[in-house]
Amino acid sequence: MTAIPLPLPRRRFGVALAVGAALVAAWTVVALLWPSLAPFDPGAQDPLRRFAAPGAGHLLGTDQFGRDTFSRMLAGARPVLQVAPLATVLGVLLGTAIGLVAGTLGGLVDEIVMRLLDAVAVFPAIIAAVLFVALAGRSVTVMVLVIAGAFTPIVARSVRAATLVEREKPYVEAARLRGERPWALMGREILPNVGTTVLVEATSRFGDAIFAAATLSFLGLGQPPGSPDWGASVSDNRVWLQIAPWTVLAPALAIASLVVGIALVADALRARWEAS
Amino acid sequence: MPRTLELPDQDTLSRLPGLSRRLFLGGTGAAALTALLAACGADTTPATSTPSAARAAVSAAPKRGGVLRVGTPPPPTKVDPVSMYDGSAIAIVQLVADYLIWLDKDFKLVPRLAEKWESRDGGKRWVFTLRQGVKFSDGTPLDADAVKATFDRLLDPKSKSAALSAFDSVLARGGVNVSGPSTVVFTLERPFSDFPYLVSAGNYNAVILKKDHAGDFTKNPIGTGPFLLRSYDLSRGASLVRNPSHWREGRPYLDGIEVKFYADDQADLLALQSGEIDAQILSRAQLVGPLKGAGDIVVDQVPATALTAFTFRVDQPPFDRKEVRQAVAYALDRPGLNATLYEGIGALGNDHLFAALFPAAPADIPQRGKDPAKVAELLGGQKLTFPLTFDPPTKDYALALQAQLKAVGIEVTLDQRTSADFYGGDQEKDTPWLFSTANLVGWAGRAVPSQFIIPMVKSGGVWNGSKYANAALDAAADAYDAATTDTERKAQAEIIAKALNEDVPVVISVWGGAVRAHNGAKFAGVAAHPSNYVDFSEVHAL
Repeated sequence: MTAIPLPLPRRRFGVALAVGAALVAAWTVVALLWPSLAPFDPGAQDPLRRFAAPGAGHLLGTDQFGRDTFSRMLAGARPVLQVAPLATVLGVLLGTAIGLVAGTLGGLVDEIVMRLLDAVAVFPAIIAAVLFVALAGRSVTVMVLVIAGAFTPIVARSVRAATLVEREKPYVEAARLRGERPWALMGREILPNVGTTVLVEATSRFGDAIFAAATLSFLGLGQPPGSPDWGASVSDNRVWLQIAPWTVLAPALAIASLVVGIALVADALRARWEAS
Repeated sequence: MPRTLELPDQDTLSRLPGLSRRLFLGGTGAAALTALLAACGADTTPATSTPSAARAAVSAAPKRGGVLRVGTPPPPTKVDPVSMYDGSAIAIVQLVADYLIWLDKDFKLVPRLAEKWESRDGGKRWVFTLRQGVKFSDGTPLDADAVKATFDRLLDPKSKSAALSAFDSVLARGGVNVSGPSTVVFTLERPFSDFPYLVSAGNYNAVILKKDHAGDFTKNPIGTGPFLLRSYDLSRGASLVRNPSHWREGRPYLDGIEVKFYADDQADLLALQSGEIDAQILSRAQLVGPLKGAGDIVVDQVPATALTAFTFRVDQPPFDRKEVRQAVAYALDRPGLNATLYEGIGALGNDHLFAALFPAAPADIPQRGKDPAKVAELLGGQKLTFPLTFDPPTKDYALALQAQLKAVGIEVTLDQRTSADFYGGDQEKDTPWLFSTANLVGWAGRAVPSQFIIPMVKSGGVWNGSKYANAALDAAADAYDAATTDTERKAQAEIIAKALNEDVPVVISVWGGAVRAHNGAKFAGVAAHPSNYVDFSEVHAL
């Protein structure tokens, strides 16, 4: 039987989805199983093998302490994949709830909520993160809260916009006339119809969360000293860029590949939803 | 080094014993406001040189002319001789002003504005005779009144000068007197045989200024040094030209110096490699080390007396037992620390405060090395776990210690604080760097060992974070300062060193080193200095 070729755009999206999903899946597996995959203890130091170039013995070379760069890159997947999904879920949940309420109720509630979100949105996220970490200390929980807090206004705006569109549609009007209460209106009628927007936001924010987690670690606001976290590794090793570029390139490429993977998945999903 | 977010404030700085490279006089010789002295160290080991250096060394007689372009981080504070503490500001001032005595890289005192000096009353009075014919750059002759005014200014508590700490318990206000136009008499609080070091470059604020110096040095840069400051711009750098009336005949060789500021280590290094600058002031061993022998870059290196003290609270568990402290000391791979943290240019420490550079350093105490069997024996099956408190400049040291101690079964939890937090709080009851169970504190290099011993390990010392108290050591420290002969000084040094090596209130694993990189194809005479000081009067173009 001869296969019927898919239309080009759909095939392209299929490939993008497959590549993206493979990258995300690969890093997820690494995050879970790195202790079995890493050839060395990522914290083990060897002063006699400092800045060893990539090659036999150390696939991606070693850093200033003689630690194996490849093992640290694998181990660094876990911190970022601990933080980013949690932060994304929390930010999307909060943003969706706020956006639904503001968009459905409208009026004064909408005005107050949106002005408050405006105020939060204009406050630089990095300064907020520094303040928060200074008050609460460094931990995964703090990173999750900081990133989720930064995403909430963004998601809320998108969901509110979609809700405003849905709210004017006949099925919502019909539900209102049936006497459905606002909470039921939101949950049963509007939410299912803005679901696509929420999912698109979630996939987009997930990629952003990876970057945000890496950025916080880069700034020393995330993981504890010595962590193989990718952002922290880029920060710690950038001063050795000339001497041992592999110590920076490995975690940087790891971040890039995961973010690209997520972006490919997000784009493909968005395209399919839009097409449907 | 993210460290920029974590700087201590000025008040905190005034309590620090030592500093990180860029903000505080370098990986080797930093000193916070209160640092006693960014002293110098060096030994008789020849400086490391590359083939380019060798070419430079055999070049013809120095020729006059040329402008040396040097790179350095922008000074974080005003370029003020009285209150400066960072390497860049000190370097700029040292190009323009001069000391009574220069501290050479081999720890020798070299007469500069003082021609000679001698002690009286068993080391309690010191008489300095000034060089004749020296003039400030505005034409005013140098005299004893200017010298007295300089030291009175430093001894004024309002000055907030690091020099104030250096003179603590040795020289008080009113102790400086004039005895004729060229003679200055220092009357000390107690005999102090190393006093000349305290008025030398080792006490970097002690540059001689005019009697009527009123501050704002960059606008009124009057000194007796080899160069004249023509312009200063914090966003760009400084421009200096030769002082035509410098007291040293025929010096400097250079027509001038252009100082360029680079906020980033990499930018500074790239500028050197690309030829944008000819030399660095504050080179970083780990960055320039790999450049040795590559192209025209020459890397000069010298030993220094800067250290990172790994301090234990001896008055509380788990370090109230001497055996536990010794176990930690025997767990360390010191050559490994030297390689990892100092690019191998440091010298191994032996848990006492006499660097090999100090003339009185005892030579018969066996070097402590890694001995896992001894660790197990000393711990006697005890499971040792402790928190290690530190601030960002010592993060790498903390990580290296954690890994090394883990290898022998000792668990260390890292407690990194901001510098403001680490050095903040009340010095009498809770500041982390003096009251945590174990901590890491970077100490600037010192010219004399007493400047480590008195504050760090003497009973009740102002920076005694270990709370160590040993009457025998206290007596030996006093006797060391009052000693008038080398034999007596060495005898007391041995008592102190053996006590510290045995009791281990602090682990001194490595004494730092210093490097300076320059383009050896263009210039010669750019030398490293243990405290990153600059004397470019001998530098000449090739």
